[in-house]
Amino acid sequence: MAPAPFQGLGFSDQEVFETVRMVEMEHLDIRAVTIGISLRGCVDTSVAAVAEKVHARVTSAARRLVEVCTDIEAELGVPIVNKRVSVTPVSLLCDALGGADVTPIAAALDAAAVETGVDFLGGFSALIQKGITPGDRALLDAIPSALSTTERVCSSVNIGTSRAGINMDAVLDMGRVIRATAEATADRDSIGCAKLVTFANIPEDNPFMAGALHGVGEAETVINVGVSGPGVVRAAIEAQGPDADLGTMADAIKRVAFKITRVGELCGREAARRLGIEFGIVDLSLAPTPVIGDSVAEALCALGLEQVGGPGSTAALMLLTDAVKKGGAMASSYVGGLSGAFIPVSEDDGMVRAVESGALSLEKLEAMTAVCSVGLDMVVIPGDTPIETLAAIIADEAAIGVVNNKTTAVRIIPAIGRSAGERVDFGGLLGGAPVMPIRRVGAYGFIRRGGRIPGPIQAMKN
Amino acid sequence: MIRQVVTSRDVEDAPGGELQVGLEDVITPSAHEAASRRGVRIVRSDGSPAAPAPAVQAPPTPPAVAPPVTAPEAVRGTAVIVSVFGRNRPHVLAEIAGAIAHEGGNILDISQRIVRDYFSLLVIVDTAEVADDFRTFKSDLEALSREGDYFVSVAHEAVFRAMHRV
Repeated sequence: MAPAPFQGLGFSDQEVFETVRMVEMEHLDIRAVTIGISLRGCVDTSVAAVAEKVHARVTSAARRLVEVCTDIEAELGVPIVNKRVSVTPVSLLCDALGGADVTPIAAALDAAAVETGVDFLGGFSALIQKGITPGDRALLDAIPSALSTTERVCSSVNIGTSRAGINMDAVLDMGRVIRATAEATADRDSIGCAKLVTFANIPEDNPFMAGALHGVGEAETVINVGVSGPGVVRAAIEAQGPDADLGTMADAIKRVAFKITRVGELCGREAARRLGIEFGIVDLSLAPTPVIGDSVAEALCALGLEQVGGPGSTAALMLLTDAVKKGGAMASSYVGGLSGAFIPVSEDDGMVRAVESGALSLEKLEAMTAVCSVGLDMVVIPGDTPIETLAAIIADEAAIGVVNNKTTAVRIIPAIGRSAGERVDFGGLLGGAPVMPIRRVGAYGFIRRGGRIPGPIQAMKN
Repeated sequence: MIRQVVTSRDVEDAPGGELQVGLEDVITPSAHEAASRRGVRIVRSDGSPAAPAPAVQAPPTPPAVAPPVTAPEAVRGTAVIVSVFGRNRPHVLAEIAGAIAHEGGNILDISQRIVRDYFSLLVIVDTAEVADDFRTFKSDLEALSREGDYFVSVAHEAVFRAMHRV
């Protein structure tokens, strides 16, 4: 076959080298290609039967994911850092099991993740923003043992939505579950809690861990992509020089976000095409890693902050998140997931330094989560924090999400046996962080009342 | 042989009612018209009469519609971009071109810039005839990279299209 007529270079040197520089020097990568898999066909009446079915389902649906992604990253020259699986919230499979221990389902999912070569599998989850079924209860009870006996399974629980309000009984339950998970993995600095996220307004197509699940309104299988590139954004900010005004900064961030997102969309569509399944969404989140230079905090400092956590941090983060969304929205036909900037503490070198120097407190971090995704993420607190205080932290964060119609989440790690100022290390993408001090002011009476905080007036839109 | 164009002026200047033209020469419609008007015979150099060229159909005009708004195109086609940059020294281009030839790549275009001691080199390569798979081609070329010398990166053209073209 004769080759197609060559149309000329089509790109300037500058454009080609901009792309190469982004990948080689500024850590541009596709953070996650996540295949969402429906497990709704796996319902059965015994735990063993469900476990067998979910294992078969995941291993067959995700069989070629890693291979296809590895091919695409070689061809496009852009690394795809994580290949992951999200599944239907497992609690939906638990109602017909008569309250039996559902930990074996997590073990089956873990085995499937190992066999398919994916690094994390999300969806050991329950949606209990308004009420709890026996299946949800069985799942909550199994979370500590599931997260302490598996390596790759991640769990998420939704305890509030803007429509339903906040289920405070579920909030207290999550305080207990977090505490129990921390104790079950106490020998490893309570790492189990790094795989457990408590959400308000959970997205059903999020490709990022630990909060990924395959929503009930989704197709049989779907490919979702999470892009990244805080290093690229920081370089774009720095290129504007110290005298550029903030409008110019926002514009520079928009432009670079557009380019990052186009690459994400290309990779996602290509993976979906090669796997023969539907392409879902691109998640526009800026996601840091512990690698030096791959930091959202550093991007914020490039805007002119001395350190993250001081006054001005919330405004700078708002500008950054909004500009990323605006640029990204133009570059993708379907935007979804969390789509904002992530500010996890242990996974971001700049955030860790801000905590160590005392610039960043838990309260300022909470304020910043009002203008970005996701919430209090990878925050290590003293291991003796009471269950009611854990629940109160969750309730505060959920309130920000519910009233602002946005997703918020808490991935907090009460490191058993550790106190404020000590440092814990989880390794890999989870990084390490100092234990942050927590205010010893109780909310016992408030939390123990239980019940539901009604949905806010803003939710009544019909 | 260079093809000549035979026009009505050549016909009018032809002595003795006959015009000799080359085998491949192009005889314009106006030349044919003038020849029949003036009774001039146009003969090819091999003695055959030069018939009027069949009318060439105009290519169909594409309908005037705006290009559809599309997502970045899929990774298709075989064009890849080899980008090289580093400190300039003799034989850089020869090394890169030699390696591409060795792999069976077909160079479609080259662009090179020198800034003081440094160079940047872009080579567009058609990999349709490359014997090994893409990953081998890529890693073979990227193996030329040396710390302090130059750096080679190979990527499918689709990624640049996605990033820089709407």
